[in-house]
Amino acid sequence: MVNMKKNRLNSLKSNYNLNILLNDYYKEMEMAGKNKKLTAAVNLGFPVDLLHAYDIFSFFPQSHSAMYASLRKSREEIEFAESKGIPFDLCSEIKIALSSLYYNRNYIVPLIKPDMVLCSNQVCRAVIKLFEQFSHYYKVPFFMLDIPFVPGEEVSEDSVRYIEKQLETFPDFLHKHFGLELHEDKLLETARLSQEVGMLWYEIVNFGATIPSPVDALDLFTHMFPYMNMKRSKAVFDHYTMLKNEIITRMEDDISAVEDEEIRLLWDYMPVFSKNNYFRRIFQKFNAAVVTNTFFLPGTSKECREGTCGMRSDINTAGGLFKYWAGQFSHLYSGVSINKKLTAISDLIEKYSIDGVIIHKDNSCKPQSLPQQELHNLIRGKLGVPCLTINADSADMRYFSQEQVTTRIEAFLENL
Amino acid sequence: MKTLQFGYVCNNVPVELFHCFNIELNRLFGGGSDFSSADRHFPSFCCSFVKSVFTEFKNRDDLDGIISSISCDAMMTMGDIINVNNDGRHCYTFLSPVSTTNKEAMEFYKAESKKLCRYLAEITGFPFSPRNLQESIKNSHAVSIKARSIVEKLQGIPGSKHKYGDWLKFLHLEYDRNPEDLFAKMGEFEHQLIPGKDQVHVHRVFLGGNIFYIKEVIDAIEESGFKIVDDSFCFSGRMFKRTFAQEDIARLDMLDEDGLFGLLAKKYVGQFPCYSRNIKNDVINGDDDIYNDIKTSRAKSVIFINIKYCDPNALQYYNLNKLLKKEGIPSLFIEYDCQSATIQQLITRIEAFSELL
Repeated sequence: MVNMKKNRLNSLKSNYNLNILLNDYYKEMEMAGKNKKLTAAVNLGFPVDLLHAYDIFSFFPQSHSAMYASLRKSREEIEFAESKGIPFDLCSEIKIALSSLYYNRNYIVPLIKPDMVLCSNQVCRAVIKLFEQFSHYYKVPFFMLDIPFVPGEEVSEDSVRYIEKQLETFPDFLHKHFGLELHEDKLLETARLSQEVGMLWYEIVNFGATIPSPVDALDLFTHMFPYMNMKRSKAVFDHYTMLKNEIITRMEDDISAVEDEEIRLLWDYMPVFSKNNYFRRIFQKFNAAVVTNTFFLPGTSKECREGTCGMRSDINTAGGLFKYWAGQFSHLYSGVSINKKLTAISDLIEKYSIDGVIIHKDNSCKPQSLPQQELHNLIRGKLGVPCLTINADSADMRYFSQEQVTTRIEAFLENL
Repeated sequence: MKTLQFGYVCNNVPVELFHCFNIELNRLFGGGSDFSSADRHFPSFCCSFVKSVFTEFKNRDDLDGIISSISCDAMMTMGDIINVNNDGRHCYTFLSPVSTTNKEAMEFYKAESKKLCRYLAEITGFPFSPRNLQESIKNSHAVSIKARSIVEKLQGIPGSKHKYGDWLKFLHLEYDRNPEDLFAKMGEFEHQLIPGKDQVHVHRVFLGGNIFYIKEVIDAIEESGFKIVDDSFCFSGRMFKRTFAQEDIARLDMLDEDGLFGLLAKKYVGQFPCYSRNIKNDVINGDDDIYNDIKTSRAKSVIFINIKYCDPNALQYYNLNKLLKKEGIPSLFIEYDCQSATIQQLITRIEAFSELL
């Protein structure tokens, strides 16, 4: 039997189950394309539950790119895209998606032709262009969910109403283009199942607050995929139950993610997918554990920060659900002001007993990276918590200088 | 009472509202060479135009505030950073919709304009007057029509002593005048547009992109033998091509307050696109506003100048270029970074492009 305490990089056993789940998901995606099942290309910030209530298969083209990065196949795809004139400074995930779209570069996982393109502006403006291109290239209908930015501390009622009104038009969009009818009962049932999966996921994430932390947040990040992308099936529910039980067992057996944990870190933004093991090794050298991630936050509202933002049991109409979703989406971490982000980070620092913050400044993801320098200054200045910014890219390793990053992390951790 | 002076940047700010409260607007063109204050707040891969606008606002003590509009990711961050580091001046974030194609976006724009209107009434101490807004809309419309008339003349007059570059320079210098003064100045400019000695070799070029006025680049294009016939720059082509509908102007006096805000929404949500928004344009299949403008202007080539790190523009150009290639229209794509400006390199590329044609 493997001694997890000695073999520090031994990952979660549930990672294996995640691979099976992902494999099944991509097989289902391929089959959906062949069996003429309705499919939708979506991005972060679009309520996938709404699609699943119609039995529409949803997929995230950016996840396809993340997969290439995890498998260390992204560089050749990116360079191929650049050789075709796709702009050099563009986000690496979009470059990979475009080379799949225009040049059929699908040799790892197939990116199927969607029947519709559903876009939210929560990620960035460049992704809107990518999604428009999908829609135009395949000549399929496009639906935009515009989620306004939150400039201050409060979300305006007009913004929430605007999101709600757009969501209300979505059933008409599906009816107009595909003749589909909304079944309210099915929608509510899907939303409730999703709520259960969500609660399970946040229970898992909260284990990171235990000292020492039984789970590494960088390892946990990949387990977000089923929650973000996949239909809330029994397989997904079972996966999170398995993950939760594994973590509980670890806690009972006094196994922590990092042996002799001394330093607890918060990671801001996505991991560098192909360098997860490198980061875990270097952190472990200093008995440092990454215990949570800003991406794990369900939202930045007070209720979300306190863990009480779940769907109320008295929501029993589609309209009520759209209103609830509108409120939730308007608080997503990616679309709020620096001050609101800082409040959320401050809560995480307290809840997870954080000693230092690592900010991943992702060269590709401009909207998320642009405010990070200011956040860095405020975390240090206002919150008095040490902070380190690492320059990298979630998929393009040409922007990652390992020796420089090592030197900086070592200096940072030595001084904590 | 002192007249308030506000800075603003993008085309989705309803300038008519400011004029009707007698607030002087200053379009921030950025540029400059000192980025030290911006570098403290923004990463190296941030659009240098945004950094330069941030620096300009910081350095301009004459401005009482700024209207930051959510036109793109970088502009959104700039407004946020100014808010966080508030130096006591007004900083208002105007939420304009990203979507331009649905009626919900129009309603949202209307609601946000009304909110802005209440804010302007509060800081100026003046009550909102629908009559003033009507006047302001009329003046703004007249300016746009005059601007298009000048561009059409510049396109048609061979060998005029005025070049298109003079028009861009004129806009850069005179932009901040109130609409009535600007209209009068435009009249003077238009009056001077008389044919001159015809040039031996002219090659009609359309300028695309999102840059501000860069004199050296515009001069280099014209000195290389190009005749600029139209543009899609934010401060000129994009600004004036879409205005109020003539029939709406005709019934302006009959509109109530809500109707007037509806007109603002109609103009600004559906106006000539900034590619960082979701627009109906289908550049892959040839239905694109810039592409149509290129065709209408009868340009024989296109020079597309993109501010470095503006992904939506660069991405749109990628497809526009494919479309132009099919049509046999040569194009040149230039990226400009004002922080590490290498004007001479750009000029060399423009000259090389001209020699190839």
